[in-house]
Amino acid sequence: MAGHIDTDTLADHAEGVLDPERDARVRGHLSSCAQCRDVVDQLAGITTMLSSLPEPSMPKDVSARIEASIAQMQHERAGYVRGAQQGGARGPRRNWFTNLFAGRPQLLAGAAVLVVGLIFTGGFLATELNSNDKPPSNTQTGLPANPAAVPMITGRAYQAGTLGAQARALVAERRGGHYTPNPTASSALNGELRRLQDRNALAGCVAAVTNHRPDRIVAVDLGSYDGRPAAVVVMNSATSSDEYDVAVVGPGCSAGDPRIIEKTTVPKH
Amino acid sequence: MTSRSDTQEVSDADLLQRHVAGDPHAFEQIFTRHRDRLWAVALRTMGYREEAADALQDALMSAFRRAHTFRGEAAVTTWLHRIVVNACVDRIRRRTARPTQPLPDYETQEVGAAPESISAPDPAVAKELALEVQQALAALPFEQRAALVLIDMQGYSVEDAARILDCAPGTIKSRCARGRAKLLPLLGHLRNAS
Repeated sequence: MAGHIDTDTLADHAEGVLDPERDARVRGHLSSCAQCRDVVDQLAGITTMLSSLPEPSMPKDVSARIEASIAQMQHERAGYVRGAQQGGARGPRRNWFTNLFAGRPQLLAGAAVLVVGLIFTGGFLATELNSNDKPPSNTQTGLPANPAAVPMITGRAYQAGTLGAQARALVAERRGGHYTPNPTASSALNGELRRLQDRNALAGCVAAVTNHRPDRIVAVDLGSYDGRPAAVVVMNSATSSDEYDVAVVGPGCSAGDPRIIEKTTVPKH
Repeated sequence: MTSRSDTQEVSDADLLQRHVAGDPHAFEQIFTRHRDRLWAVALRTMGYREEAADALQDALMSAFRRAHTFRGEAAVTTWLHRIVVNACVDRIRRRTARPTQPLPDYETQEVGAAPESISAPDPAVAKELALEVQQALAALPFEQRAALVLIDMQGYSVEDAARILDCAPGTIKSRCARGRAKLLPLLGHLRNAS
């Protein structure tokens, strides 16, 4: 082994990942080379340095945001349970959601478990059912795979000139959990908005708008756009982590006919 | 129902099971227990504060929904870290517009203080040194950075890190070795300064 040994090889030697023959050659070299021994010492120093870095604490704003997100998910989960319980004659009588998960993972893994990819939502809601339970009769019993896909229904009056800022505000409200659903918006908008609240139709619509990437969804809202009933879908940009894609769709939007009124890209900050 | 008084005695696995069974507070308790550790992994792996926050939020949402898939083959923390790392990988893959660039907004980064071995009396200097370590880490390929974060910084065993990163223990060792080799020219001067 002429000259000195490269740092990668010395690091591999120090970590013990060289094959025995090569490792023996390195050890032989190190016995007579102070410079390479110093490099090995410095590599150990890197580990010491990294391990001595104190662990950063989670910033309060991040903690608050995630706690709000968990609370929102818990709230939605509870809502779905209530929905199932109140599902009418065809709905399950008991809290099937709780019973489902109380069934333990091994039950879920077993043959007794029927997994239904319930396309309530063109892919963003899915539910798993124990075959002993009756299937859910309607979409109320779906568990949102991406809670951000659940419409917020703020009734906000979106406008072309301020769409970007309004989309960012919507995302902040969604993440913070600080928003108040405005169910009266549907009547205020002459019933047309109610058509957008048809979750099955909206779900297919949103799936089409997001190119069947429900994980991209950051927020979905029902309100108006330039005075007309509309749904607004905010999603992470497929090409830039600094931007949102925002789509505005009108009543009648469906998987086959998204009825996009406006589609734009806005900075996240 | 999980109360504040009994959470100290309840294991992570039991809390997760309670969450699956419908306990509305159990998942939050798990988060509260491990948030700093999860944050450290996300921040050190992502480099960017906001992206780390987004990745961690993604991960916890995923863990909330997928809790029923936890099979108890590893510790809950290992399972959680794996979800966090995967969320970080997903977000890094989306960084097509900015494949390699230095860390932004240094003044807003929570990177912790400087290493004890670099005891600078001036807090500003100490923070600068800590940021230099973070920036050097950001220069590594994700796989090497993630391995070093878990092994050298978070103190995970090679076996646990291999479970989290879903690869062989030998691969973890190789990634750590090559990562340290890359860090040496970037951080050697800090060690000399101590």
